[in-house]
Amino acid sequence: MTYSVNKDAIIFLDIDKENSYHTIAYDYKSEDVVAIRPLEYRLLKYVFENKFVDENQLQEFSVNNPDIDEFGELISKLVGKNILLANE
Amino acid sequence: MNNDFYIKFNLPIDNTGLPFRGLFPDIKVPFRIEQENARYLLTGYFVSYEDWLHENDLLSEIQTNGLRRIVNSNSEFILFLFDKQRRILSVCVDQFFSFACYFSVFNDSIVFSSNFSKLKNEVMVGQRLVGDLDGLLTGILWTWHMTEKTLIKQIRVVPAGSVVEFNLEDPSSYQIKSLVDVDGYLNSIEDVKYDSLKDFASDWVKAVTEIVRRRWSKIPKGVNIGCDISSGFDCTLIAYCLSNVAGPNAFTCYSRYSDLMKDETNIEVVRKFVDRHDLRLKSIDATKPLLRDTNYSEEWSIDDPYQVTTHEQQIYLGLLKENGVRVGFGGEGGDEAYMLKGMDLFLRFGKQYNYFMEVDILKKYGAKALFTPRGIDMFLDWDRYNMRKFYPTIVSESGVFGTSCSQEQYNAHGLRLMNPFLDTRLMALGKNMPEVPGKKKWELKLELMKGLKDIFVEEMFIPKKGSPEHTYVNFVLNQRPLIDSVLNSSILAGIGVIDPKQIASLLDDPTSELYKEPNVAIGLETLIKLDWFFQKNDIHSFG
Repeated sequence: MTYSVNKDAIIFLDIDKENSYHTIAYDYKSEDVVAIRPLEYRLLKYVFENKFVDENQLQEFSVNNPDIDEFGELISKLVGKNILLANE
Repeated sequence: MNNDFYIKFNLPIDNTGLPFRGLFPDIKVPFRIEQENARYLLTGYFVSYEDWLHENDLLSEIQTNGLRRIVNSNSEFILFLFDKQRRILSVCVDQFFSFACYFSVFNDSIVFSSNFSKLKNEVMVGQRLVGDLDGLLTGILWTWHMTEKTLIKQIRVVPAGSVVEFNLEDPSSYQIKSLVDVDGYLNSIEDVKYDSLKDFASDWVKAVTEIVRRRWSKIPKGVNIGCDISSGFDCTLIAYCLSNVAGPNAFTCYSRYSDLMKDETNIEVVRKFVDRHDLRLKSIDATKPLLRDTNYSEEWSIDDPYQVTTHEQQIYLGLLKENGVRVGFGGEGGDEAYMLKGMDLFLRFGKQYNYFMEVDILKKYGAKALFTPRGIDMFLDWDRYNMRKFYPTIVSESGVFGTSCSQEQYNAHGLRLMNPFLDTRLMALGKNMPEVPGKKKWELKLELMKGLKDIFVEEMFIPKKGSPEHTYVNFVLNQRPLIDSVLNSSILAGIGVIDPKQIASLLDDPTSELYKEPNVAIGLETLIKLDWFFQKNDIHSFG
């Protein structure tokens, strides 16, 4: 399983820094925008910059970012909203 | 007679402020303003729908507090403020974009106009027009965001809720600043918990009635008032509220209808509504323009990039003008007023929100059918969004642009459009609308209206069977020679957005999505109009 970012659901812009890495994404489940907090931003940006990441890379990211609680749930939530794509 | 202004300042300008006097024609409402003291000269149009702000006190308010408080108020205006001491000209428009003010700086002059065409024709004397690529791509998708850009690089527009400052010593280095205070607005909204939609509905009608009253009370006596009416809920609610504050004989309802509109405007339903409330009605059949069968190559104007003058709105505006109407109430922005859940997100992250809207419209257009892969990359290039300035708006951008586009057409007929739904107090109440389990936010409006059955007639609650969008296929069916001729010299093809062969194969295949999916036909008509406009104005380069 690999993960990638759905470019239809999030856009990374220069202004994100000015907004302290708070942004929005499009939730394809509720068909509405949702808030993206800085820790979610960090994860999504990491996946985006690597194009595709596998579960080992995510595990490593999780270890290096211990402030992100309930990492697995976060991944599931982002996948459920189609912001993060899970590729077989 | 029309309501347009056109102002040209030839530089240098002395400190007397003389060229700033007598610039604007009297349009009755908003009121023409000309106030002066030793330091400033203030001119333009202004009307306030707030208790704390009166038109006569405008200059003292600006001298004390600057322009910020009035920008964040519920007022309609365009103001030219000349600071005689600093030799700065500030041009400011309200946050609802109720005045479009296009401008250009060239040949030692600054030119302003409410009419894009007049300014374009002045700018193109002695210089070649250059297209604005972001303006063009946005224009194709109709996903307007607040911007200073237009379709033409040399022409800018004052963004809603913003001020443009020109130092008269060096006017081409003007500064644009948004004065809209999103955080201040969001922090000012009171949280009110409603137990049910029924309770909310009662407060909603009271609030809409109040904002309609505030607008109606500003219209000078003797000015003929009209109100748009359809078989939908927005303008009918406005008509109902206007009748309550002014009386049913104070205005006339005007409706355009056609069987081709499907249920968008069903004239029988409209008649039932006006009969229930003893309103006066005048209507006009708008079928002809929906057929899109006239000779567009003759009818289209080289001055009108969106060719709105060929549309059914002209028939409607002609009806208003024939009946002496000067102020027309409308329901623009109504849909968005019921979808404010999460508004703090789309107000603060407007650039990102606009990107999602563009992704969505590209999907609806059937992007791969109409555009080349390079074209799709151009639309969704993140740098396009990075390069944009951000001008936040509190009321919906689609309502604001719908109003602005209509207002230009109203101006041309000497009319003024009033859209009460564009009011931040109404937005604040709308944010408190209770949710209904299992309903998405765009379904809440209908749920709310079900609590107002004493206002609306039964037939308005029957689900619609269609919309006028399907009539765009008539453009494809009836305008093939024009489409072919535009594609043969296509400027959009020249910059790689479309491939004429790809579009020709869509046109030649009666089973293609072009004939089945109205949004694809809308996309085609839009890009042909824009391509035609650029060709006729000899615009071949983009920046």
